Amino acid sequence: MTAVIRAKGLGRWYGEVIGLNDLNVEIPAGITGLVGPNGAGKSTFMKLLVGEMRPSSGALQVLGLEPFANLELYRQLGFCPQQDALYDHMSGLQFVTYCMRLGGMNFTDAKNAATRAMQRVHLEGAMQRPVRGYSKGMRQRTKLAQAFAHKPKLIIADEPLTGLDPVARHQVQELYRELGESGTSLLISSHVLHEVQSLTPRIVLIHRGRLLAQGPVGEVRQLLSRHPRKVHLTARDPRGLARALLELPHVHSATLDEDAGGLHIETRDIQAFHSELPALASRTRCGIEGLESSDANLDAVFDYLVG
Amino acid sequence: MKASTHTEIYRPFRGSLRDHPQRWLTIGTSSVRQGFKRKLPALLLFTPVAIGCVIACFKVYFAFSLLSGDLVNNNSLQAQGMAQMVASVLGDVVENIFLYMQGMSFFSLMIVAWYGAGLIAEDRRLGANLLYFARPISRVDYLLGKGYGAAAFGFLALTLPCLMVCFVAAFTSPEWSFLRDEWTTILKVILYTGFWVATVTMLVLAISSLVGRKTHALIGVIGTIVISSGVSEVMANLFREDSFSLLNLFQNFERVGIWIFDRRQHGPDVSIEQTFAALGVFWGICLLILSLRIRKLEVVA
Amino acid sequence: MSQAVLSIRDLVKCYGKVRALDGVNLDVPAGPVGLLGPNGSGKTTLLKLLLGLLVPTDGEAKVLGYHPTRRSDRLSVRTVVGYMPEGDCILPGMSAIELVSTLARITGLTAEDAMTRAHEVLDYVQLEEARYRPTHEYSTGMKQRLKLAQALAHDPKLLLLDEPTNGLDPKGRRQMLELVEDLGRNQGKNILLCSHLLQDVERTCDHVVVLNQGKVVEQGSVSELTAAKGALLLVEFEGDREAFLHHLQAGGLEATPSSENGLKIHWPGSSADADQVFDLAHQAGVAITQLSQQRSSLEEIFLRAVGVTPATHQDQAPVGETA
Repeated sequence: MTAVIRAKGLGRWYGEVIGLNDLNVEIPAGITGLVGPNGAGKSTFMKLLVGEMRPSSGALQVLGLEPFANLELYRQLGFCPQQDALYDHMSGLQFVTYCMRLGGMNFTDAKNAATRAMQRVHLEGAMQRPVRGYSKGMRQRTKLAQAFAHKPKLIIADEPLTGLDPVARHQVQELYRELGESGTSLLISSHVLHEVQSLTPRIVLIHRGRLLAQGPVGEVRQLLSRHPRKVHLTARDPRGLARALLELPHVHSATLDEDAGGLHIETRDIQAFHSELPALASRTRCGIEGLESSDANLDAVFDYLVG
Repeated sequence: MKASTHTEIYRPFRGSLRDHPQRWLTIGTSSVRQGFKRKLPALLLFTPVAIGCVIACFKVYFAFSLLSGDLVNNNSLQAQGMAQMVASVLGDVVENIFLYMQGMSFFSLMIVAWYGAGLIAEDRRLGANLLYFARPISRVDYLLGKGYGAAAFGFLALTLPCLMVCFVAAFTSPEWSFLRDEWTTILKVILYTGFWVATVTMLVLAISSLVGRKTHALIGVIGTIVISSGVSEVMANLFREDSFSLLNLFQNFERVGIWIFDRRQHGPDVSIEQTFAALGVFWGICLLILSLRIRKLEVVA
Repeated sequence: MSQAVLSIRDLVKCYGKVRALDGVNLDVPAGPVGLLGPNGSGKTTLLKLLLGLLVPTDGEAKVLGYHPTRRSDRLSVRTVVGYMPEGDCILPGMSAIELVSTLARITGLTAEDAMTRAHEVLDYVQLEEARYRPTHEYSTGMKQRLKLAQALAHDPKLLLLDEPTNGLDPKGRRQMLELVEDLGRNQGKNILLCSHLLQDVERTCDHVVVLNQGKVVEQGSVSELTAAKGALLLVEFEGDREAFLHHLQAGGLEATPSSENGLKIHWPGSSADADQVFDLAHQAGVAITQLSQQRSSLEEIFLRAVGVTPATHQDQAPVGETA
């Protein structure tokens, strides 16, 4: 498995303030989510990845190359930053073309790539107008366009969905899925955890400049054995179901919902629970209508680890 | 005693709203309070005003004391002669007050500009208009409030020190002659400084509403004064036409002061009616700018 | 109609040739309501009209007994409405407590009431000692909570919240949504929540209104709109897929694969009986990890209402920006 990003003992501080502290992580190809609370070091990490800064200590390799001032890497890298700094006097198309030309493309190729990218973000109607007149969502999509127009191997995106309305969010998420399927790797940082989870199960969780967890969310959840697994069931007869479930040895708590339509249970052994449930259901016939692991999602994992 | 707990964190408001809250007063007082939070600018800006005020008070005090012969306890002719000479040099008390007001114009302008420049500009920049106009406040209330805020600083910079000088004059004059004979001076001082403060407030607020930050507004105010006086000088010399002096705000103020205090006119030959007309146009332009810009502030909210 | 917190009839607002609102007819019930719509759909214009900041070209609106469309009520409607704006907004140079108390005084509270109330709302949003510090030093989370506090200062009956979770990290988002949920469900406040994050709206609101191109294109209670339609079960399982499918077929149920570990089970009748599925799973020896009735998500409802087919990006109606 080739890692697109490799960090070993990566550290970066600003005077006394620590940005990253001995970060060790290998991010494979594909779509990965980068999550963490504010001030965790995500922006620092991204700045190091795109070569804006040098690490204070440790080693960092992106696509096998060291990022700082590395022109060869920049050609294979796309970056969509959080800050909104576009050249207002240019039109959207001119801006993206300009970015392509900065990457070394000749004028015709740059213009074609820019046009295709703007079409893909559904800005073809507005791309000739100056950026000054764009709404927040349009500016965001222009930034995205310049990140993937040159078909990079790796795209790094910092809060790429801010300011987008639900339609645009949906379209951009589709775009990311397509890019991911076509072989581009993506590292997306976002605070909206359910959106990250809908794009990819793989996450990298950073807190206080350190790596807190990495890997698919479900597997990370498994590792958090300190927290018993929570499962939510809806049933016609929740009390009867609760009684039956409490007889299982690994189930140590059952809480009925307020509206008496379901219950939460906590179990120490989720595998056993899943395999024993069908037998129990057919035996007790409590009319189970719904079953879901209420805390195998990114929100819950984040909560457990970051607090 | 009936047991009860009060653990609800959100408590509804059980009071009532006032019928006629003076919203402009709230806005104005908060502007003044914010202005005085930082002590260093206040120190730097008000020190020259304080020094000038003290000097003027002493001049007035000496003038009265010499006239009344209190200071010089020598009845010889020579001593009296000296006293008279010095007194005449110190000049007529009212003249002193008048000159003091003119002299302090620059510093008073600095004070009103410094504290007033950000009143509307910073509101726009920081989004305060979004918060204000979500309240039952009209545009007029907002303008009056900001105007009151800026004018308060002008009052402290110009009117109050002038009144202090009058106060000293009243106390040191023999048998309260100042109050008896020259009490109209006090009214004239209030009238003139009030007019001055109001006009400068208009200028500062109009410019503040046009730009995006306090520093830009400061530059705008100073620039406007400098450019308008520069242009009026150049044009007056070029075309040998005195009425260009109407472009110069401070010369207009001087003429108004001369008219109120009944002094000898000197300088460009411009009538007082023309001066008031020019100032009226000035007020009109400022109010127009303010009404348009504040409307925009309200709608953006 | 008398129960409606907000009633709007034929509301039109034109800016030159652009019809920002094109005949909106709406009755908004009490409780928490989501106001959704793409950019340029007229949401912001609608909010401004409700606050009396704009004069409509035509039509009427009634908010809690006030008519913000009429000159007489333009200002007084703001005594019963609280607004939490989207962008950054603070009063220059003040601390949180000064800001909230000054704004409360401007609304019309007496000085003592304003100060007491300011402390109460700042307690509610959990802004503790930070309330005495100047607001320009605040983090995004604190600024958002401060904005909510100032909207609550005069205890309005209707809260207009514009993107309250903007810029917040996951913990901040959770805190803010808890506050909104508490206000809407426990404290009995009427809320009009504008958000692009449909899952937030689904969680906190009982009712939604969808605007598009100046008109209302969908409205209804969240639970009704997203209710399970028909008998379709989504199942995730671990174990032998073939055996499971075999048993399902034998039991007379049609199943189609939906994902790596998932199946969609179609029911012949009108209501699904999951007990049978568990029976069959037990017989096949597979473990069921997830089971639910297929419901539409709010996102699907929204996308369909504005003319975008979900899961593909083929627009049926032009979804351009009018900005």
